[in-house]
Amino acid sequence: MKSDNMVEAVNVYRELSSNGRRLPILRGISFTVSSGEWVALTGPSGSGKSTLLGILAGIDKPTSGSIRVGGYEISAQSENNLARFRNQMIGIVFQSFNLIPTMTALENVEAPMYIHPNKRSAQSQAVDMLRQVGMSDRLHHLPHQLSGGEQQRVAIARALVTRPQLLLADEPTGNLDSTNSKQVMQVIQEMSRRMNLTVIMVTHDSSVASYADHCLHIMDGRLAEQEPEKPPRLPVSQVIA
Amino acid sequence: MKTFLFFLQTAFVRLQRGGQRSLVALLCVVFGVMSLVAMTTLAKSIEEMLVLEPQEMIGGDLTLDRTDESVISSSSEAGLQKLLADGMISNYTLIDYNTSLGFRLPDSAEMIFPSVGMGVDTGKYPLAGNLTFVDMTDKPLDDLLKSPDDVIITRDLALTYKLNVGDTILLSDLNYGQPLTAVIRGIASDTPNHQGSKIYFSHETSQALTGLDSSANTVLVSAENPDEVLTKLESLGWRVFTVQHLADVSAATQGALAMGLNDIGLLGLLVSGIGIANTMQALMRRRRKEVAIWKTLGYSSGRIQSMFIAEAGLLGFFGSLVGASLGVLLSLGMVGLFSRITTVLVKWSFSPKEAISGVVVGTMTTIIFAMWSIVSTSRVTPQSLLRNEEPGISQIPAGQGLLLGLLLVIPFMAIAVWVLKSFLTGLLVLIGTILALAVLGAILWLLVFLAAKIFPTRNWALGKISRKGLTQRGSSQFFAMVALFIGVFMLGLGTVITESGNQVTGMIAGPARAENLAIFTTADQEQMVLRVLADNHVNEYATGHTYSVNEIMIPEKIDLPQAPVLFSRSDPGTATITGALWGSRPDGAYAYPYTDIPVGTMLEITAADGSLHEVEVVGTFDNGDQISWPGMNNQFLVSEDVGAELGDVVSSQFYLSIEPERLSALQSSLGKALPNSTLLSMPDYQMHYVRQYQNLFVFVAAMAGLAVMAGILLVANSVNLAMLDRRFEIGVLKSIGYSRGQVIFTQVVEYCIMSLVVSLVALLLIWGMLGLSGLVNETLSTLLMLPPDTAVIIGLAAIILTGSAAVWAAWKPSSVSPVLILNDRD
Repeated sequence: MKSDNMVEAVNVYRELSSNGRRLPILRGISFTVSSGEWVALTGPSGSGKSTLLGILAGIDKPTSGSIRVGGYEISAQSENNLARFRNQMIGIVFQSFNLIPTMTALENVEAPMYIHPNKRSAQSQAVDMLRQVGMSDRLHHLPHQLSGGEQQRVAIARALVTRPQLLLADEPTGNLDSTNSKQVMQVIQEMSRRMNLTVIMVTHDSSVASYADHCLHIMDGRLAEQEPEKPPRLPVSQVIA
Repeated sequence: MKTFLFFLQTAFVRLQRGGQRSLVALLCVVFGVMSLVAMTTLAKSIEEMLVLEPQEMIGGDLTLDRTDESVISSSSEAGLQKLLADGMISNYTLIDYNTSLGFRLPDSAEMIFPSVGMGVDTGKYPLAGNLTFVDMTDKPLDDLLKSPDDVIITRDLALTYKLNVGDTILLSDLNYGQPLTAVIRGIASDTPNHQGSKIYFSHETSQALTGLDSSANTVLVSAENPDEVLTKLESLGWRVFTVQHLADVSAATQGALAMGLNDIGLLGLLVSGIGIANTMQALMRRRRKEVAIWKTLGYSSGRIQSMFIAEAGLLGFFGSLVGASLGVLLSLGMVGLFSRITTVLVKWSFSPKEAISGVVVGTMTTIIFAMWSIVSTSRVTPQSLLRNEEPGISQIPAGQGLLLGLLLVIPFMAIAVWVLKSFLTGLLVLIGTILALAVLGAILWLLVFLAAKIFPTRNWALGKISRKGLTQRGSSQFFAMVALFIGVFMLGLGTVITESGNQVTGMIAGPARAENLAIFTTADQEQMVLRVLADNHVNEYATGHTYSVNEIMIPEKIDLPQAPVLFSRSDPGTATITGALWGSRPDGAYAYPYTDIPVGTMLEITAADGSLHEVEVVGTFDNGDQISWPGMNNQFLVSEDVGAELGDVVSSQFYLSIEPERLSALQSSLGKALPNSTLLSMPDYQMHYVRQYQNLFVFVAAMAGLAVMAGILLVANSVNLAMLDRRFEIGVLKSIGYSRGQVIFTQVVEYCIMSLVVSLVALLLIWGMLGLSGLVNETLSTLLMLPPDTAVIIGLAAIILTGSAAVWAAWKPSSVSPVLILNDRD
């Protein structure tokens, strides 16, 4: 259900300095994403997709321009405010899963809760979230004991345990085979539906991009728009293996 | 609270799962705290032996003796009684102070030589300080020393020779010779001046030992105003010693020793801190990605620092617990060792405060030394996660870095001040140590770099890899080099001490001596001795006697009366005579050279019968570097005829030259046949000195062992770091066909080169120091040495230990599959 804008980017520039030269990565990108919408960011390698995702996640800052997420201007916030923003308002899923290797699945999912205002129910919420992504029988496994698809599901649970408003996914199926890719996408789809999430997902894969409501195509740091081919939506019972 | 508990739990789990790296970090903490607690406990034990009350040094306010009397006469004592009656002194007691005692067990021929025997007035002694006993007995002294054959020994003698209350010993004054069968009635755990190696007995026992009616030669005096009474006493002919000077010197010496030990403890802590900093740097480097992940979950730099501080704190706490426990045990051993190299009755003084302080300090030190890498790593920028790259670190800006450095130095400075108990000393020691370590490390690194550059590696691929490791990454071995250097240096120094001990004992023993067995006896036992010697087919021997005269004066040194004793021999034995040849002037006397009595001096001797005689000093006698028989030195040596003419016989001696292989058996059989005489073999007498050197070496070896351990630990640390740095390189090497063994071999070669250079530098430095000391003092050049073959052994040992540490540290990291490394998965 579409409502007010979740993300508003206005004239976002991002430049890097390298050996005294200024390298433009993003060149005046402007777009909006409505609440509950699923947007795919596509484009060739080096086009600036990951950089844009990083800015949206608050782990990078634009050189100029404005970014508002959930009405919150993040382009000029302090480090601590951005940290709080990352914890409470967004969740991030990476291509390489990026689970903490010395912590179990449950511990990984609990981790963001211990600095969240709802920390009291950290463990129960973590257990519940793992159940929702179909990992309730792997709570105490370490990441190296899980398959790629299982690790990504844990990463999704970790990203969503704090009930964020925005889910950012960077090539979530990039390291998975087609079967696991499909499963992971269906998990994201189902969870976004349940939680009324706004999703912004970077992908090269057109079949993954087809899950999105629409695409933002980035080329040489600039934006073009195109509509994806939509996949069929499956019932929950077939999503959670 | 929940967050804090989560941090702790995470830290604990991470430590558990940290494997070898956590273990190395833990060992660094254990070592540092162990050194600190051991050294501070040892220092405290020694400090508690510092005589707090100056009077305890000498047992009273003043110590008196007389140069004109070998024993205190009744007229001299009467003078003291008058002073007591007049109130100038508040108390006095007579002491028979005897340094010529020896004893043996009934079934052993080995003679044991305590430092001093004290014949005391059992009703008065001690005037100051306490004589306490091992079994905490409350029995008064006069109850313990009731009869003339009762003695008390100090606990160091009891421990060393396994003596107990009720044991029998055969005690002799070697100036007299007749042994006394004595029974140990008490073992003193502490004496008034904390000195051990003593035997206490009554005046009656002393008289039986010396054959004299009265044998007191020293007086302890208590007085309200010691300075006032000093002048009076000197006017009565007493030689007076006051407490203050002696107390100051003793306090300074023992204070310096305690400070030195605390310094060593602090140095151990500093070295371990360096190891911790190195290890944390390695640990944090591997977890940059993890830090980036935490940041994407919303953890700020501050929270991430808190997590890692919790981890460092836990590591420090558990390591310190183990280290403090080991330190307490080590201190017990060190106190025992230390007691054996001195006569001080050092008691192991443990208080939980030292151990708890060690745990607190160890935990704080771990956090302090880990902080830099924690703060540095927490600055990881997580953008690289989006590019699947290893996260970089943005360097701490110079200003912030300086501030952080200061904030870290200050608490460690506080620790140093607390350990050394002085702000200035703490500051100087810390700065001095850091500067010295920095300079030393820089020199060593440069030398290792140069050595690596010239290391031949033509057509040897593995050698090239090792050399590259040294030249490009040698700086990471900085602290390992310094620690290893200190270890090899200490070990070399310990060897020099042992070798010098062997030199001294070799010189003392010398080539097979002409005289190696002596019999000390009374005059009335002489015929018995002669008969027994004949029965044992001993026909060649020299004789000697100790004669007492009334007085010996030197007119030019009227203020320095000489001890009224003459020592005579049938021949000079092993003594070196200068001046008149022995026998050419049978009417003359030979002086001991260190008494500064020139040849030609006329001695005015009042003989035992009261007649006055003049005897010319015609030469000197000296045993050189060899140990002389007891009673020979500091006396005038005369012919038997002169002695018999002038004095009354106090004791008789027989000096035998026996084949070494026959010595022990003959000593035993003569001993059984002469129960009223004391037999002394020169090897036994020399053992007394050898044992002290041996104990000193054990103590130094223990200290050197600690230093070597530190070196090896930091080597292992350094190898761990290196293996982390080179994971990708190792993965590539293995993927192109290098085996695990070859990878480990490159590490071993690299660290063995480093160890070779460091050991060489340490040993060359020792040789340089020995050369310099030889230039200053010729005797030292022959005494202090480090034989080349011993140096080679030390160097080889260091290289082998280093190589082994490198194998151990590289074993696990080198076993990982190249696929995993190249995919950068754990």
